[in-house]
Amino acid sequence: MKKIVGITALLTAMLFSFANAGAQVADTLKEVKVKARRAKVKVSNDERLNTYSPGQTVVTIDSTILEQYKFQTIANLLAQQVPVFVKSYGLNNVATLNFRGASAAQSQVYWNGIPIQNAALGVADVSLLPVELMNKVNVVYGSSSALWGSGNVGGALLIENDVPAFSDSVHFTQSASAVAGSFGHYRFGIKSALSEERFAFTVNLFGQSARNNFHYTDANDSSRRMTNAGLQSGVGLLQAAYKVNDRNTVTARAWYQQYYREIPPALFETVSLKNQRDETIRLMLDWKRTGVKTNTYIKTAYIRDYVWYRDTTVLVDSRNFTNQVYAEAGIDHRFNEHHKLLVFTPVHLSWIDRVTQGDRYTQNRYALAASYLFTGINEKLNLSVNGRGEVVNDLAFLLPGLNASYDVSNWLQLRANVQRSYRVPTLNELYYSPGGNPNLKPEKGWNEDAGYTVNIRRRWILQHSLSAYNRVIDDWILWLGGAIWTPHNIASVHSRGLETENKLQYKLKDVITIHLGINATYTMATTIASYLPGDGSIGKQIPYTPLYNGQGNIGVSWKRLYANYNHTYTGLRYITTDESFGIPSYTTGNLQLMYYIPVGGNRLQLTAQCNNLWNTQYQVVNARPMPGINWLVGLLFTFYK
Amino acid sequence: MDRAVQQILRYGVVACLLLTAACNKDRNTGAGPSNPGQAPPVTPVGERNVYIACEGSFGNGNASLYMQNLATLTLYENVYLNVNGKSIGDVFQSIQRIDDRLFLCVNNSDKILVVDAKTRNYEGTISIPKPRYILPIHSDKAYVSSLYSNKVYIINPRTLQILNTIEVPAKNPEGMMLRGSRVYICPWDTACNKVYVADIVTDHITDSFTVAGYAPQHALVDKDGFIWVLSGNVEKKKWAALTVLSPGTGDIVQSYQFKELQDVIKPSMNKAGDMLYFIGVDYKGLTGYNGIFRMNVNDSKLPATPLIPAQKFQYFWGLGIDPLTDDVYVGDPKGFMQKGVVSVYTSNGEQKRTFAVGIGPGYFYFDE
Repeated sequence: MKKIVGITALLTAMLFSFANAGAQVADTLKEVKVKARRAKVKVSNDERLNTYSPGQTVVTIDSTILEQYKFQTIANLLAQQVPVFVKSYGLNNVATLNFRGASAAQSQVYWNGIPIQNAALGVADVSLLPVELMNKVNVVYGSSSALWGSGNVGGALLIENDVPAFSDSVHFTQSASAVAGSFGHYRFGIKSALSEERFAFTVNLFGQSARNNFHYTDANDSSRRMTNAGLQSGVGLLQAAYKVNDRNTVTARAWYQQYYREIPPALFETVSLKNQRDETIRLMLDWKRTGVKTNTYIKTAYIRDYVWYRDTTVLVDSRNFTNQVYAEAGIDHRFNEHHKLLVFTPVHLSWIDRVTQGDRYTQNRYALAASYLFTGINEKLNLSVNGRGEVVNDLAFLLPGLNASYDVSNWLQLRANVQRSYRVPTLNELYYSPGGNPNLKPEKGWNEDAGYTVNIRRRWILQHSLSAYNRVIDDWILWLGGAIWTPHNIASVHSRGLETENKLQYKLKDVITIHLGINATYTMATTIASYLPGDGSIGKQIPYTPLYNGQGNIGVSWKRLYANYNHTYTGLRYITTDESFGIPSYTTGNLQLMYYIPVGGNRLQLTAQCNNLWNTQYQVVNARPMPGINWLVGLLFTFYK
Repeated sequence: MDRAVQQILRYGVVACLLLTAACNKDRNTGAGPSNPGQAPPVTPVGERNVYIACEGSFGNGNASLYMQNLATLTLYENVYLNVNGKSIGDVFQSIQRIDDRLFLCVNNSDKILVVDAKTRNYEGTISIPKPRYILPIHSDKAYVSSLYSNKVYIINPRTLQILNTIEVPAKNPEGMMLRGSRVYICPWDTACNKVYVADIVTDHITDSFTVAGYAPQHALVDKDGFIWVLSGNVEKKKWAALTVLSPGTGDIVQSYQFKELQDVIKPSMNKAGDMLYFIGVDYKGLTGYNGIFRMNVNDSKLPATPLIPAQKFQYFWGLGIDPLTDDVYVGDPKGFMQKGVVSVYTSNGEQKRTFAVGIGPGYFYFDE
């Protein structure tokens, strides 16, 4: 009986998950979810997150939030809605993630479970990830190297496309969008989806351009208009799925994008002639077999990144191709209601071809990973033991981990996580010319975190969670230099802090829903030991790690209207290791509006965002000014047949 | 209003206040240096100062000017910022006094800032692409070398105007030296193994002398009038060399070849002109040729061991010889990720004092 109930619950959850995209279409925003901690429903298509990370702190971006930010980048979304520091070099310019005081190279980004950071840099530019292409966005805090691989020290961003939604009859959806914004920003896109019993196909294309010529205050307190800040891009995502039979599905995805970005002058520069072209193709083929007790899968991917950076002022013309081949086979078996086991074998081959230097460097990773889940004490306890043996070129190491959650009551859950952290130097750190250091050692350490979640559902909903973490990393890699920058294993860094997320939601007369949310982080990441003679960084906060960071949301949904005011706070960031030079804290206010109009059996969606409502003059990265108040207005018409 | 709504708002307000309270604990020291220091007084007549150009961390615009009064040893931090209320810019390369003004070359900000030598008050800006060094010719003329171009700019230090340029047959004019009516120009160009000579009257290149290595950096003159030229760009496999040229003919009198990967920068001559100092830089710990080296101009070999050795993970970036005392000033940039340190040694390498300065101390100017 229990088994039947369990299977029914699982199927219900899966159906709910698959149907979600379709359900959004006709939804009139009766329920507004600002952000929900991982619940029993599947938040991801990846079992590593759904099942084998019960004690991990995960933030899931709700579908309504994704709709609000549909025409923006993941960088903007995270900066305004998630307590993670996004190091942005300016509007539409490079943006990287900083989790819990970890460096950008210690924070990983996965697309449908495939690592997509640049193979040479070890860094993903989240300003090049459009929200529109993704159906699920999860942020995993803390190390989870056993499940996600070495390099995942501070946390991970997981972006996913929904699994194919096959339909009994032929189902066709067509949508077109037009967006206009401040500073000459225009964007047009189309999306088509066709599905039937055994076949599903979607295509999503858009192009955009922006001048980004906003006003800012320069170093002499004069108002200037930004120059050399234009953007042009074209993006396309094709997905095709074939249901071989009730148990077997094959999915193919191709994601191509090209961005041309001018790089504006910093405050200390009079002019900039810098520009960068980023061209990426990501191909993925995925086979899944779903059984009663055993699911198996094989996924393969090829990723090619081309970065062409030019600065005619200083005679730099750098062109690099990086290539990645990723393959993973896995088996997920449920022995009974108490025991589950996942075994998988990731293989990740990377190489960089430097056109300018005419050479090639490679980095090959092979791993065998397993995760065992025990569920007991009336399903209140979920305990996951994870392990991974990984070989990177001629380096072999083990990555163990343990995490668990316990439901104290139906409204209180405790969780804890212990993981080994490990990061092998990137190709860039080893071989960059000039300055690469082939003698670098891996960064290594341990990560521990624990917390609780309160979830009370009455006529009102209260969600509150608090996490505390502790991490020490030895042989921390730091780039040092003036004319020549060289990475060295310099220091040991101790990171510890708190994160809290809070949401309150109240339904008024079943028509109006009011929501209030506050997220905040406290991050203390200090150098505790160093090889550098007379190092002044001991006991000091590491660069670009705000001590405090937080966001607040307050809003209302009424019938087909959704309105939200978002306020962010980012604390002082030091740019030197000894706290001798800092950038002031800043706050921004942002307003989001969304409205749906039924047009026959179709739908017109109107969205409007006002970013930096209070026209704050601020910089996220030193000397790179951010724009003042700016608007983005979008129309999306969806046609159903 | 519904009581529950009131409660939501009440708790919301409390939560906002808590967040605000938490934010207030943040150490907001404002933009720029956390401890800016104080403006220096007007320099009394007869007192000497050493100015330290802290170039800052490339791409961060946090260059600074430090100053130490050599009579009282009082240190003044962030002199330009404290006097003028503005930052210097990015990559503060060098300082030169011409008459009553100090000229500050700010390389990556494409400008030369001009300040009064006594008060350090801002007097003007000369916009020049990637300025490196200034060579005073006379009160109405100075040459400015410039990275990434093949131009030496001619400026008028009184009017702060650009008068003209000298086209050098190679890129990256770097160090310059005035000898009589001739200026020796070192183009730090890996395709160049020549030092070019410009006439200060016609402002034209009139001659060139071949040296023993590629990418000439700096030229100095010794006690006997011989011209010492340091060359090399180790990252581009142009190994470092010292060439001694005859002052009249420009013939190579002697040359010294450093070993492969031994990187040498910023040579300096002592007051008597008989001792040459330079920095051996080992960024990656590959060669061990790391520290301040000294050689007599009559030595037949290069020094193998440093007078002042650098430690592991340390390298020096600034070197200055006090023209009055021969004290050796050494700038330790500490990786350009934190405040640097200046250490002062006797000419024999005995440490006299040390003090913290801005980021990337790279150039010393002794103002008489």
